[in-house]
Amino acid sequence: MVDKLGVGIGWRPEIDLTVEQLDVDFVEVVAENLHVGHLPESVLLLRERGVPVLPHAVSLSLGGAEPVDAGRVAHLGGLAEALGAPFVSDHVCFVRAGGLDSGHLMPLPRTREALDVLVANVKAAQADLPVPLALENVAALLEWPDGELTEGRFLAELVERTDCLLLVDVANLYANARNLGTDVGRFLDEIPLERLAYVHVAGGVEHQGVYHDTHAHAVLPEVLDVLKQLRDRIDPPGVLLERDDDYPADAELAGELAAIRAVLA
Amino acid sequence: MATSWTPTSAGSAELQPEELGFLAGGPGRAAEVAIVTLVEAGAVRISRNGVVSPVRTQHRPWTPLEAYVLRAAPRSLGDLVSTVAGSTQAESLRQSLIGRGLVRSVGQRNAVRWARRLLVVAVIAAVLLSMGDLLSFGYVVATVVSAIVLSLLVGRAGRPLTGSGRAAVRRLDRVATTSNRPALVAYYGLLGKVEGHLVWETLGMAPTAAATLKRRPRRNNNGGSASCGGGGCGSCSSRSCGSASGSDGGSSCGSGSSCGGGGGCGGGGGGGD
Ligand SMILES: [Fe+2]
Repeated sequence: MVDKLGVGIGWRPEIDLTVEQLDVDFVEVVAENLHVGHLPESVLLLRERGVPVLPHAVSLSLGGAEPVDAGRVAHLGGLAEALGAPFVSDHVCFVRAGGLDSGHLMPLPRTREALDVLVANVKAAQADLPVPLALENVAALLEWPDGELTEGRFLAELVERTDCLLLVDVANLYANARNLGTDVGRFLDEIPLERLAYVHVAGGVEHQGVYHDTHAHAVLPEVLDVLKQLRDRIDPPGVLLERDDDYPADAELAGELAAIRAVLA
Repeated sequence: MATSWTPTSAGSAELQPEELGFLAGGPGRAAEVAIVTLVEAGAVRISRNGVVSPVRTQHRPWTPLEAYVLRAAPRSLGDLVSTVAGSTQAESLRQSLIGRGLVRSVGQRNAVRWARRLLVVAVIAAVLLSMGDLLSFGYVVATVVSAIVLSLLVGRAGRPLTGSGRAAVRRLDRVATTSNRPALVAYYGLLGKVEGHLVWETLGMAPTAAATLKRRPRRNNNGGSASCGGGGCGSCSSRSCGSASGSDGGSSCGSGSSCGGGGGCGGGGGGGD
């Protein structure tokens, strides 16, 4: 089990002053948007205050067929050292294939073969990272055919074979439950919760019967309910609110953080 | 129009803060007022590095300038001020102030400029003619004296603001206090100083955000004192411009120039899942 983090929010340049003012215990930064040489003043200020800043990557493409880009891993590791971060994270997905960048976090086919590729890439990244790597479940709108494992088992085997940490996004889990019929309880039972680094909570919107994980809307009560189901099993080391667009007033973000704290209490 | 004018502004009658900002410092100042009013209303936030971004809020009736700010954001503060100052909405604001007899049109002020040039030519001609003994010295003196009198008379008409425009700025002086932020910005500008403090500082803005604001280059386009507020970033102190105290026809409030660039907004971009 990792050290206690508390409740945090995603640091974004547009809301830097808001994040500084909110009652948060830790923040997460999108690794690709920062440069080790010139970190934003706001991020440095949070570090000075002792607020943990966790780099979160979106571009390692660990599930991709191509070997992991050593430059991207080095950047992530450099950022972790510059920020004194206890660990870094990316997603169980691929973003590039055949040299093309999809710009999206694409879900992996849940086959042994895909798992082997993922495990090899994760191990390669881990070898070059100065801190542990946590991996996050993504939201999928479609499922690849011929899946051999449930999502929970897929993640459990990934942890078994790489000893990585888990970053559970309850909004993504809700999205998969809503859109693909993933069994939330079973997912939470199957994953090794003792390897949980922290949890993501995000807002989204339902449109024509499909839940969209937008990070630009309020957090739905249903997502908080998934967090509650997780909380019933374990007291998570950290829970982080992700908001990436259409930022509401400070008070509204504070309200969402309070709602998260209420679920954890 | 705006619903944001606070009761403390009662002294300035029907004029909105951004209109007063325009009078005191040109379209750039009006843009600053619109942005600050939106910040006060919680409709935009300004980040530490100066990115102005809309806040998801209840919709309310905005002035055309405020609505333009909301459409143009997110953008760095300095860039936003110059963009808004150069907008057609800012030009409409000018036209409306001209229509209400508060601001003089560019045409009128150009006519004054030409009248002054003609007077100078007349004086030079008289002097040259007298040197060639074609004109008696008495005529030269008469020409010079009447040129000075005429110049003073047209000088008044060459000012950017009319008498009532200047009177409105004088009234603004009385309400421009720290308790009335839009009026404060309208009168002094974000880069202006009040009671020894920079206005942006008084408003609690981050230094890195204020650094995106550009002091407009001082230009001598009227052969007079520094021009102010004509262009985008107008944030010079209102003393040099249109204010009651020292407007001597030399300042060029409300001219249509705009200052450059302003640097794109930083970083931002896609978050992860
Ligand atoms: Fe996430």
